[in-house]
Amino acid sequence: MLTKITIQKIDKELKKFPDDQKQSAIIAALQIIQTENGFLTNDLIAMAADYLDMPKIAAMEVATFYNMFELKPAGKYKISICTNISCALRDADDIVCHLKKKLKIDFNEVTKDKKFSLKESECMGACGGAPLMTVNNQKMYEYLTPQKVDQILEELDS
Amino acid sequence: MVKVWWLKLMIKIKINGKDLEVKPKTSIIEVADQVGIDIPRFCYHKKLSVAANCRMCLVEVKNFAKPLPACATQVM
Amino acid sequence: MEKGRQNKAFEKKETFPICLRTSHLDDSASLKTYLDIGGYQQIQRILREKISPEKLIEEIKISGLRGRGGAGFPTGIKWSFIQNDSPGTKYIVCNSDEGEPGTFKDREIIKNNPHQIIEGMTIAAYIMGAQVGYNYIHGEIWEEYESFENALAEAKKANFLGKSICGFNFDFELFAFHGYGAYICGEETALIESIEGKKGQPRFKPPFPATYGIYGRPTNVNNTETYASIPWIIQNGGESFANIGVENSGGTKIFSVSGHVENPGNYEIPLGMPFNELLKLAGGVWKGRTLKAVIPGGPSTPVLPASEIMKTTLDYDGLKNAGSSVGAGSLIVMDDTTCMVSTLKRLSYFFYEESCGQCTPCREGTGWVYRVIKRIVEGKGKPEDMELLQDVSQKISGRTICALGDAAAVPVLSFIKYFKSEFEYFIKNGKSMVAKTHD
Repeated sequence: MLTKITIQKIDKELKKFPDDQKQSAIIAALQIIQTENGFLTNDLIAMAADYLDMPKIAAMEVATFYNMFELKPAGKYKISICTNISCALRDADDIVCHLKKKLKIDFNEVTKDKKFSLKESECMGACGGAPLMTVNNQKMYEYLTPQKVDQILEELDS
Repeated sequence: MVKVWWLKLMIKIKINGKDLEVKPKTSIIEVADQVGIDIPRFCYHKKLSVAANCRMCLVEVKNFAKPLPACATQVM
Repeated sequence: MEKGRQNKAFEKKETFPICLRTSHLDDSASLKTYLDIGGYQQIQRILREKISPEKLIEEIKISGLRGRGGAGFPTGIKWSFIQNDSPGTKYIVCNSDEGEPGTFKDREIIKNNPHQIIEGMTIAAYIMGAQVGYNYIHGEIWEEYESFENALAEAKKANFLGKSICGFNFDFELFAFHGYGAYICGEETALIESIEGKKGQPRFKPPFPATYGIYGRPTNVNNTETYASIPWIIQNGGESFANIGVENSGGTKIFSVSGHVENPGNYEIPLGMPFNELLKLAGGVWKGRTLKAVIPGGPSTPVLPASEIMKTTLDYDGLKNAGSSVGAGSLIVMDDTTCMVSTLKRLSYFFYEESCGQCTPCREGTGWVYRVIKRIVEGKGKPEDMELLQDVSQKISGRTICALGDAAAVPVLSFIKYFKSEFEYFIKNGKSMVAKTHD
């Protein structure tokens, strides 16, 4: 069941669209649900579709199309790191190696204690602060160095 | 008299240098099929809605910079 | 405009903040800050004096403002496509999807000057008789999205948005819409599909959004920087804006400078500034290294070797004559430690990953190109790979539903054009010609 808070948040988004276009709120709805649950299950996607009176398959299309949706369990902290050109030129690949070594996981894997997962991301539109990463699609950390990464992981873990 | 009226509505076009008279609002691929000019296609079928995404039926049209999908372009 | 600043603009050695004019201020994003610098005066003047849409469009045409998202289409002409008095709902959409690698200017405008975007969009709504607007912000920036929602709430509370704006007979509702990770949604019809709650798969054009947009209604889509440039143009006149730039390139453009420079960041400069002046502003090539290559407007624009870009001016004609383009102004600097083959591998992966999958040449072609370059980088390249890469890229170009296919072909063709020897070396020797790679 979708929680009351989730429904309240989705209703807030629905106000942005005409009454007969509830489908427009699907991306926001799935994002709200994912933020609460960590990832999207088929059931959750179906619930979102039902709430917005749209075909379940249409909601599934959206959930599988946009990169930032997680369809498998992610860590408590999902780390998305950009490896595209502007970050790569500022040694993002060294940060990636550092993260993989420290967390002992590869991209699209979750640590044994389920605290962290790693995702390779495309350009996040903040290249002046390269290399950079986001946690749970919300908090962005720029100007990364291996030391800063260690500090961030420690803060999250505590 | 009916025949003359009908002819007035037809459009003159050329495909591969061959002169043709065709009904307006027909797609290039339909015309080609009618006159036996072969345009390859994967996603077009006369009983399906036009998708124009296989891009196999792209044809060069005079005055257009890029090739156009024959299934989705009307002869005008 | 003071003489001193005007001279500086003509000299083209300094930045000229218009969209970024609040970046250096405390509390830059607040309504109070925007009002203090004279914000929201233009929409009030337009409403008070009942200035005709035609007159406003004329001013924008004179300014020479061109779409700042990459296509560079003259804004004044675009805004004449939707008739002010045409019936029914019409939409004003701001494209803040900003997915072109190396672009981060719209984020800064949203972060530091959201109200200028809002005022620009409101003026657009007035001109085109639109009632509703959306600012489509890409999903990867969360804090900036939230802060734009705050700016919208501030503006609505102060009656700069909503019903009877500033007490006049003019309504305009503006909302923020958050994408969630799709470069293709920067394409205007894919963006519209996304707002409708679907996959961001581009539509055929024609019909253009001005005829058939959101929910089939007339819609105007423009970039963040384009809307943010409007209040200044209305205040100072189109001619003043045009004079800051050069012929065919009126005004300022924010160049997002990234890569191998000392001070990466957003630089709003008069169009026509020589590239080496912008490079100086950005602190020069980092670590005392030598310039090797520059992508001037994002990977959808051709790369230029140092020898070419150093004699180029940064404007639409200047870059076109050099064989590239302004694009989104995402200026990516590469020093002499950069392996062009590995860099092309990463760029081709990007287009392969971001292809929406709708049409065959892009869906299959981008993957094919990526796999060939990957094979080369793994030391398994064959001499015929060079021709294969060019052939596949040329067969994608011009044959797709949208411009992503054309964009995917650009880096392949331009990198091979200027750095052929690196590719040949890699194929022959199974390793990079350059000491450090960015694999």
